[in-house]
Amino acid sequence: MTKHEEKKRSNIEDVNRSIYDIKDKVEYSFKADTGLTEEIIREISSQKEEPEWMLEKRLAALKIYDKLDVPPWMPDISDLDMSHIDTYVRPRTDMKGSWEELPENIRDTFDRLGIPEAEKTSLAGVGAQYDSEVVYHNVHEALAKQGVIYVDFETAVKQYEDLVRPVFGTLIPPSYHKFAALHYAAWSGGSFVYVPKGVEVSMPLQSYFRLNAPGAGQFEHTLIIVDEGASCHFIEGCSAPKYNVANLHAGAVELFVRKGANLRYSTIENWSKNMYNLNTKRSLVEEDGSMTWVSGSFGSHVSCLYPDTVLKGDRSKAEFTGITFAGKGQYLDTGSKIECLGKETTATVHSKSLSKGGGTAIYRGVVHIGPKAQGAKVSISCESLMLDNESRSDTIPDIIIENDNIDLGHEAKIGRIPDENIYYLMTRGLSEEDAKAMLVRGFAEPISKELPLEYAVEMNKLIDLEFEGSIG
Amino acid sequence: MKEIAINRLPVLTYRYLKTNDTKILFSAPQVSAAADFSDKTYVTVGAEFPENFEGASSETLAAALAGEKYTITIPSGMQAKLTIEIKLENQHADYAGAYHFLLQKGAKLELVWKLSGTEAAQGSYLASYYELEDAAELKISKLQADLAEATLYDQRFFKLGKAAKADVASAELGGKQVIVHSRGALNGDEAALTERTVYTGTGKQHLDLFYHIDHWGKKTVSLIDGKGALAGEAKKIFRSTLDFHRGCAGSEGEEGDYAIQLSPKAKNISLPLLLCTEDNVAGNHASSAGQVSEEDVYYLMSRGFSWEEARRIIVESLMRPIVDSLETSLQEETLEEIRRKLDAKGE
Repeated sequence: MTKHEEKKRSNIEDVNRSIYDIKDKVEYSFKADTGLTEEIIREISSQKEEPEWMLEKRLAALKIYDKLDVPPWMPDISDLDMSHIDTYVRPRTDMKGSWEELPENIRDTFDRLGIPEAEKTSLAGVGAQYDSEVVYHNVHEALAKQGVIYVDFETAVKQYEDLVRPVFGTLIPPSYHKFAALHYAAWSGGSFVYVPKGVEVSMPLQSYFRLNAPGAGQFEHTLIIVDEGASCHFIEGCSAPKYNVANLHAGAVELFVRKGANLRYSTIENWSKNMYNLNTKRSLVEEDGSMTWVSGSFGSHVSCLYPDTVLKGDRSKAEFTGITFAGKGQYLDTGSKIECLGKETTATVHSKSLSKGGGTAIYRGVVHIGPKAQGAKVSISCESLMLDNESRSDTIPDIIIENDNIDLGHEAKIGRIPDENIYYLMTRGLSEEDAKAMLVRGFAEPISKELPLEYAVEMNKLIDLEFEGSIG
Repeated sequence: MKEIAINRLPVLTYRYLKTNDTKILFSAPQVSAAADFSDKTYVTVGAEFPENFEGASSETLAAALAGEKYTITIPSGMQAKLTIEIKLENQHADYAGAYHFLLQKGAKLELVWKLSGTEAAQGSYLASYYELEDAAELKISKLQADLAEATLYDQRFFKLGKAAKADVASAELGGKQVIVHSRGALNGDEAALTERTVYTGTGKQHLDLFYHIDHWGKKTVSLIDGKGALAGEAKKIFRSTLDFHRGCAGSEGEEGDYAIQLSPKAKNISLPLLLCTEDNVAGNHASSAGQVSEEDVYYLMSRGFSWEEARRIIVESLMRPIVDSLETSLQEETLEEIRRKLDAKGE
């Protein structure tokens, strides 16, 4: 190896994106005009043959979208022009119940991503969305017999209107912010999960969202109801190949955790570096319920993602574990929101971020302990690691306490890998780059161990490659 | 009176929380009191201020600059002590004043600010610009008490040269609305600034505390430390920012806000920001809020203290390190004032 090669840095965008970056030939059976107009919204609704109430919701949301401004605290998204976004791209297939029935190019894409294999080995159900529509959906027969519903969102709107209609758009109303309004106007695809009372779904359900069309938007809606005493683990993955035009993701995730229920929601976001990821997630937790978020944000050009947990019920619990890795050209503004409303609620937030190569990682958090949330206990920990001095890392927490019977602790740290730690490992025989890689893995380990196994492995590979040859 | 926005965050967050800034009703000072100096050796009347001197808002800074102006210059290598006392009595219901402190190379100044007065006082509009040349040292102790109906603006800016050190200890105990806006620029290598504050919010007191320290020089050190208790329907907003700019290698900063909640109606808001574009730094934030520990109260009561005494001891113990860092003559007075407010329970 030459000295020049030794000094060559591996950049984050080099890392194993090959799987995600493979572009399929762009094919579709229908594509709406670019932009966001009433005509386009009516056309989407018509294509889906959906009930009138849903069209009315879409049109009301569009009016809200037109009224609201872009929040001034957001990252710069001036390069995102809605008039150039393809709002709806229907792939050249309808939804199938077996992978073999899918067109070869779509099947190959999901094969490369490992979804069918994961389904065989470790998942209780899978939904796969390609551009604007779900193309594959399946759930284990045993679960279906227990009354578990896991279907694409279009099917849910028509077949399970009694479950969907009363709660759809209530947790994240279109007025939540401009991009929530956009979502409700243009939503397409997504998943609906209903876990009946007392049913424990022992293996995870997974939805995977793939955006192939350049310049397109993806606006899937995920709605999960875990009924009293039930439990479920849901995994959400997403990726897209990189294009020279902006893509947009503005999904919404509404999660209802009923009395004594448990929901774990894991997300691995690995969008391409031309993606504007303006996603919204919110959970409502009732008495003795428990909500666990595990979130990994690795992709996107700009990301704004702050899962919000409303601890409405007494003794309800929330846990948020998140990691953000911002590389060159990325502005990842992520965090969490905790709203303690019920008595004796507890919440733990554990957030870590890494930034390098000029990337920006922001932690933006909110803890609001309301006047009736007597006995609330909240613990927050934020750690940011800077891997060079070209990057940016900010921590912006907002803590609001409105009663005296609480216990809150918040800690934040920012900095680089301590020289003493590198030195210590080097005295034990490690090279400098191995020592650094080990310390970064150690930094990320409390989070990576919470990720689904294949994603944890992927993250460790990413860290290793990052340090390979970086010391000259 | 008009509504203005004060103490705006350097980077914004969600609007619906209404914490990016504070909206208050502002009125300009009417009848002005005069400050009393313990020693006028280094004091001259009149002062000029740089354009980058920002206050809590343009209106509140302009109100201070419209009052009396002084320049205090401590020559190179000199050491000085100075007490500035402002009393707002009935016939002088307002104060407006702006001060430019220049500590030349190696100069040292121990400065005491005392602000007090009667319930008739309306407001105090204070602005002070501290310019410390290389290796200069400044120690400020501030006690603000009484003034139950007054709105008190204290706007300060610190510009620190190489190895300059400024240490500020404040007791914000009086006033109806207390607005502190402190900004520091650690320009020189190895400069250090500490901002320590104790507060007791009682009744319907509103404390709006803003601290922002920019690290520019290498190996600069900062500390922002707030400790207090909130009773009655008091409201406190603590906005603190440590900003590590590219090039400030080897710098360290800590910020902390510790509040004891003594009333179910007290409101406590904290926004401790860490902003960073330099990797070779250590920035830490820690904050906590909660009640007086029942175990601690029980322990003290088992040693013969009443519940009230036990509670007061615990709150005092939280504040004591900052009180002890005040100038000696202020310490007992500060403790007495804290005890008086806590014994009144603020309700």
